[in-house]
Amino acid sequence: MIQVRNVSKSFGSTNVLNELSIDFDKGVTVIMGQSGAGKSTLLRCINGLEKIDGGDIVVDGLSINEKKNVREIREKCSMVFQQFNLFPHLNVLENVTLSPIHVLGIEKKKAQEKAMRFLEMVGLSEKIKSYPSQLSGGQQQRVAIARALIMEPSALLLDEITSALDPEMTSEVLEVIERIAREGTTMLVVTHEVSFARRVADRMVFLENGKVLADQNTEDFFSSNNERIMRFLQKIEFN
Amino acid sequence: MTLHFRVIFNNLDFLLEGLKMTFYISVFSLIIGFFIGLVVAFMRISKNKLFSSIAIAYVEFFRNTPFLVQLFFFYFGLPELGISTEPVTTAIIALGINNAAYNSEIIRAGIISINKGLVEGAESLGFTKFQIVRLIIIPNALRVTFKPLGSNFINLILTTSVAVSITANELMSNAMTLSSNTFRPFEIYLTILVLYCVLTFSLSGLIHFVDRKFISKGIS
Repeated sequence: MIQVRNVSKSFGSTNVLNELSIDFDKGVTVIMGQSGAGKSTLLRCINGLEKIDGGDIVVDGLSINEKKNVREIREKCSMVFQQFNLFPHLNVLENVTLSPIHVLGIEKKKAQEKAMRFLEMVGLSEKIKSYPSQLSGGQQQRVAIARALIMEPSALLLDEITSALDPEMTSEVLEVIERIAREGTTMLVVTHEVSFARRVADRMVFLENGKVLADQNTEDFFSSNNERIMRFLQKIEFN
Repeated sequence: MTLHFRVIFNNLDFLLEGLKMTFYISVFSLIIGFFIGLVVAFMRISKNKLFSSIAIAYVEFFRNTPFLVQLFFFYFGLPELGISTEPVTTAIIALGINNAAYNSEIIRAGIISINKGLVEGAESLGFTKFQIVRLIIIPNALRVTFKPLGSNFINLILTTSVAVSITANELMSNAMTLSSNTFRPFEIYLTILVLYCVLTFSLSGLIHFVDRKFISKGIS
């Protein structure tokens, strides 16, 4: 579904992705690795937010190197960000319906009905008239998830979506993600939440220096005897 | 000195007519000033060197020359080129163009202040560039600049009085006519000072009310 072929990306003189190749299919893939390993950059490249320097990314047969494909790829891969990035001038319902109305061309009434289903799914159907600034971080992030889901993407890209949240809000967001994962949504998840990864991932990918160091099913990954991965997991679980 | 406010009551209709004209000129130059200001703000931040240079020249020229001279240029200068307009129209155009220079700088600051993540959030959902400008950037830029744009509008109302110099029949013009007919400058100018104050003070109250009630909603 998503094919990443020899992708390179550098910022100035720093190579963040080094001819990285990987395929993503159905299911939940959790991507881990140290800061600077290229996890977020990989997601941002798939979404076309960063232009790749070399290689190719193909989503459902569409190459990202063709400029005209970028918007369609973005419709297929909805992204959720660490900083939520909700539209501050719109209330919750308007935040969720703006893209179906203007990007997919769905009638306003239908879009609202659809939005209500997804807002119910993330547990926020009571808050549709609130503005983002009136919500907690966890609630804002759940709105952002609904806003991404309403596009019915082929894949959901989650970029450290709980890193700006306190533990309580983190678990309320991760619960929602687990529920969505169980419904069979394809997801690429960048996270540092080990126990969450263990529960939700079908496949674990470990990046280091812009390359894939490990790509295994979840059980094998967590019982790995690769020294680098063991050290990483120990450190992160110690925290 | 004895005050004779009867002159005001006897000529109240004439003064209120002037006030109406002041309001009319203000509203139309507000509209012109807003839309030109919006366009110039986007031109100024444009990556296109030609657009941004034109915008900079426009803003700097109209902010660094006296409005009275600009008005005279439009009213007395342009007819030499065959472009002549009525006093009221001239006042509206000159005020609009002048105000736009100030508005554009305010709106530009509003656009720059928009969080980059907000735009990325919209991009990642598949909005086109034009949709992002229309649905995300403009509403948010105007939301944070509503009050500064409002004070600019109040300034504009006060500046309409300069149009007396081309006899645009607004409040100041009518007051001057009345004053030279009745020789009661103290009463007359005091009265229109109060009228200007009532107009702008209530308007600034309205701006604050609208901002608090509707605009600032959602600003964190």
